[in-house]
Amino acid sequence: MPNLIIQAISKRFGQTVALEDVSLTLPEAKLICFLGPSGCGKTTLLRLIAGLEQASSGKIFLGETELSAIAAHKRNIGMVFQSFALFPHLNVANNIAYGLKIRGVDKLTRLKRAEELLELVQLSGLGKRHISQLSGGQRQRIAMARALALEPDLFLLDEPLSALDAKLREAMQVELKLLQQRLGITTIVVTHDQQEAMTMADVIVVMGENRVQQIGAPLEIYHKPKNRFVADFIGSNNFIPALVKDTQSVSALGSIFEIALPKSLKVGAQVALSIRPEKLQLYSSEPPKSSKLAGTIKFIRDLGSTVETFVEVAGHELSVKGIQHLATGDKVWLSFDPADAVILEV
Amino acid sequence: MNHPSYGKPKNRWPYFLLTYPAIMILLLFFVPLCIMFALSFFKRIQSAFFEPAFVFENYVRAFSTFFLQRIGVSLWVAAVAAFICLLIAFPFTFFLSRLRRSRQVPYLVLLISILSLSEVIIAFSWSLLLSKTSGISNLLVALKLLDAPVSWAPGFVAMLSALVYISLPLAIIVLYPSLSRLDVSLTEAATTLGASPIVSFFNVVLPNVRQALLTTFILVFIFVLGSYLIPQVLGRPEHWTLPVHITDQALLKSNMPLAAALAMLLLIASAGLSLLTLRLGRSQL
Ligand SMILES: Nc1ncnc2c1ncn2[C@@H]1O[C@H](COP(=O)(O)OP(=O)(O)O)[C@@H](O)[C@H]1O
Ligand SMILES: [Mg+2]
Repeated sequence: MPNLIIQAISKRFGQTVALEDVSLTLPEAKLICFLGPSGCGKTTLLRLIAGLEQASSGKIFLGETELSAIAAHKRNIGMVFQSFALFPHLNVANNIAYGLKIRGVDKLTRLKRAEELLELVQLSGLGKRHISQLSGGQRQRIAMARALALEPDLFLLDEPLSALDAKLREAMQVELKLLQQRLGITTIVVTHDQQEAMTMADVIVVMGENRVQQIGAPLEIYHKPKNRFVADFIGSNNFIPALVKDTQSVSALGSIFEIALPKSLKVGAQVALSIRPEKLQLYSSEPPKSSKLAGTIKFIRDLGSTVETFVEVAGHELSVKGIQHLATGDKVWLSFDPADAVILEV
Repeated sequence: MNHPSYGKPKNRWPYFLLTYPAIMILLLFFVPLCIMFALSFFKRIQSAFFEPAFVFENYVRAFSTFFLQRIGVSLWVAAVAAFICLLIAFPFTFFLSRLRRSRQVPYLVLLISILSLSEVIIAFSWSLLLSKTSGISNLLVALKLLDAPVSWAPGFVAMLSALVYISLPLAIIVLYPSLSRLDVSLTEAATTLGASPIVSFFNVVLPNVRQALLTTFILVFIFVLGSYLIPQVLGRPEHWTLPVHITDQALLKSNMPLAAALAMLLLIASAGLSLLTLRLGRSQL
């Protein structure tokens, strides 16, 4: 199974721009997440791959084959819709076997295959049930079974877990990941939930403002966000306004920090120093570290598993996560490892 | 916990309010129906009117070959009109329901305004449009598509056209809710599973709207079965439906008892079909 290559795809609906010049190469046999806020074009991109929309410009390839030149019903792509879109007039087995029926597979083989797939999604014996007799979680699995029945080249899921309650959703994330690894089908899951993307994905495509913002492994996206949008969207982050001093240091909040800088930055440029709350350490007295800041505790809140402390440093509020035993109003010191900080252009 | 007041409103007003429609239904519907029912057993008196009696001769006449043929024609006309109406209404409504909501509104308003036209206006407009002296054929002559103006009315096609025209808005408005409720992603799901547009239409769209189509067919059928003026104005005597003959008997031939008996038959046929519709509607759930 070859790579999925998306080449300079743009899509407009009348005046609305849904996607702007999207180019991606997605690896085969991996679980890929399209992650981004609502309205950024995730569904549109998925529908373009499935052939349910026509691109305004650009092409899509699956290896050597130009996918965008093939009619939607000949693409051999399995898709799970947000509403599941199960056929209400057919029972579970006939829903799953619908694609096989269209291809003229005989009834006995169809039913056998439907039973296999029911077993795969752990719903054996439900074949005769009516769709209206299924729970949300069961419908979701049946929709997956139906999409997988034809052994598709690509398996696409549009916010498949958003209709499920939190507990079931977490269980399904793991299950979906295991299923994908077992089948080895290139799978694309659309989600706006970064936790979900982090849990499942081999590769995350962060989308925003109708473009691709960054593509990479979950940890890479988390620790090395490429721009302000990604750093802001994934997890929480402190953004400290900073000025480039020379090729390896910036000044921020009255202190100088030695940090590896991208080559493209000019001396004197305005940048943002981005650091995760859990990468900041709190001290009650001045620590023997090079990267440090002095401030006052403004507010403390208990998050259960950790404590979030808001520290004011030179008129700027920073969030720190980690267990500590200080009180509001205390004078404190903050320090961090320069390797954990990311310099972003503003 | 106990909810002693469940299902027992303390306020008795709602029940009193219900008596108003009840009385109205009784006065305006049930009483005339009883009178008509009684009338259908009365005895007709030549050169007079009728006298109270309990005879079956009106029903015997109503079941004569002549009237049975008339009933047959009525059913046939209603079936053909309903079928053609559905043939037009279904694709129209299907595409209408797929338009953006804001684009659908003008069409729906137009359709409802057609519904507000009376059968009288529609019948005479069509008769004028299809006439030799001032109809569309004159326009076609002017466009050199015809050599001389022709008269298209009265005739079977003229009658059918007007019947389809008058029942089309009804059909569309009855079909509209179930077609717009049909989830677009169902056909898209069929597409990703390898169904061409035609295949998914027959496999997915049709089975999910079959019930609505049947209901609409029967409703239009009953509607056409009760139409009187259009067959009268635009049809030839051999196309006249039962209501035309009922009027004929009641007003021209002064045979009220026979008219009442024929009307009872028509009523029973319509009621039977309405019940069937309700039955089908319920089995859908
Ligand atoms: N069929 C459509 N007609 C008009 N605009 C659309 C249509 N589908 C999507 N859009 C617009 O395209 C943009 C991207 O939508 P979508 O792909 O659904 O975003 P997402 O799935 O990321 O929430 C949105 O601004 C949306 O309003
Ligand atoms: Mg979406």
